[in-house]
Amino acid sequence: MSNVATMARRELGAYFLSPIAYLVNAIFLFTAGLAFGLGTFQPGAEASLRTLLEFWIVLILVFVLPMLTMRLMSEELRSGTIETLMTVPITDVEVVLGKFFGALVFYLILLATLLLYPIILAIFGPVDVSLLICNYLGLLLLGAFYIAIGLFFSTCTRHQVIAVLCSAGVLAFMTFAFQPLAQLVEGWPRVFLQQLSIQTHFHDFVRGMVDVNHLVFFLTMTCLFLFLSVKLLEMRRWG
Amino acid sequence: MGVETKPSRPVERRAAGRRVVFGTNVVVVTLIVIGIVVVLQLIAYSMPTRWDMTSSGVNSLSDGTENLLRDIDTNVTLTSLYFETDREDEDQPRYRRAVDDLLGLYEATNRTKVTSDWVNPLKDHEKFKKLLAGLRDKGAFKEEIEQYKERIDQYTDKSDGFDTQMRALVQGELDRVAALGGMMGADADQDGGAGSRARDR
Repeated sequence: MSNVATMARRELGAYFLSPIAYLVNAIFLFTAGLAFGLGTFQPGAEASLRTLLEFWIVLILVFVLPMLTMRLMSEELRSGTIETLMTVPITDVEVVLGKFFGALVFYLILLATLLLYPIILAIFGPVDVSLLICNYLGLLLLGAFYIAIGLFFSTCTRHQVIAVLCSAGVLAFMTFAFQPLAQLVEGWPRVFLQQLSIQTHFHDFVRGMVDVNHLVFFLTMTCLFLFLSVKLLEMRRWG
Repeated sequence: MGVETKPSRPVERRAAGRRVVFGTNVVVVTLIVIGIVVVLQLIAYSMPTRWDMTSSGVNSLSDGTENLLRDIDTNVTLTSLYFETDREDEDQPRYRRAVDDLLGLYEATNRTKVTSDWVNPLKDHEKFKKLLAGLRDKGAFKEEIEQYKERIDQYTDKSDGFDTQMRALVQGELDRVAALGGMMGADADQDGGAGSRARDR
């Protein structure tokens, strides 16, 4: 466990030393602020983050989080430091979990900056705190899943550009394409596509509903992609 | 002069064998894990457990509705007929969202039996026709439907260009409302404060 914490601290420190993290932070804050100002902060609109979270934040995260995760493993593979990492007394699971939690903590820092918006809304109207907690729970699960996918693609290749393109492509498809596709079919294919659609699961968190189905989806899918990352790393060790 | 060392054939064979064993192990374990994920998601899908986190309870259904939905044992599709035009009030999307949320709640209560569908009669013409035909031949509520049967037949028979006619009709009405709104706005501007003064009196 201490190995995971050490690894996570190292990753978090590496974020603050690299310019990419500051760039990602700037892009996230600028686009989220723009979406809040133009979409949510309007006269007569309800004092909730629903419009902002339902589409804009999800759209921003689809592109921002792969930029955060692209270097997690690819950088180690490209520079050859993965060999050193493999020789230290730390398991593959600890390496993957350490990197995952490092990125997750950075993501939580990004999310904390979003708290400014409910504070602004609270000046003009009552803000439902329990709904806000539900929104943040959804954002946490969504972010964890996105990071797990990004980490998986980062483990697949030594090229960061390929990692970011693959993760953003898969995330965009899973987030925005499955729901409209599900409307075109009926029966079990519809259920299958709806179940794979990230937006279907995240939508209920935004409206203030915690459903076991959505919790299980995000947790199991995150664990699945972390598991696949561990297996990929193991496969590299065995050549 | 360096000495070239070449691994002997048994060593090579052992390494290849190890890779095959390891590869098979990875594939089998991965398939098992994917299977576990699928099973867990299937169980969660059929569980209607959920918590409404809003302080207003907007995502909660009454006990009666919950029980009614949970007791449904045949497949039921709740179809919402909602017009969506290019020119509409800015509140319309909010109303549509409220209906969508409610249908989503019904669906979440009994996912395996209840599904919801969304039909825009101006756009999803085929779906609309199918829905009308289904409604006409429905076994339940036969007496209630009887009085509307002629109208339904009229719609199904004159289906050619129905969507165009409906679209023209709705757009025409919207244009009239918009024109009236504009005229009223212009009158108010011309009156200046007179209107409000009259209201005050």
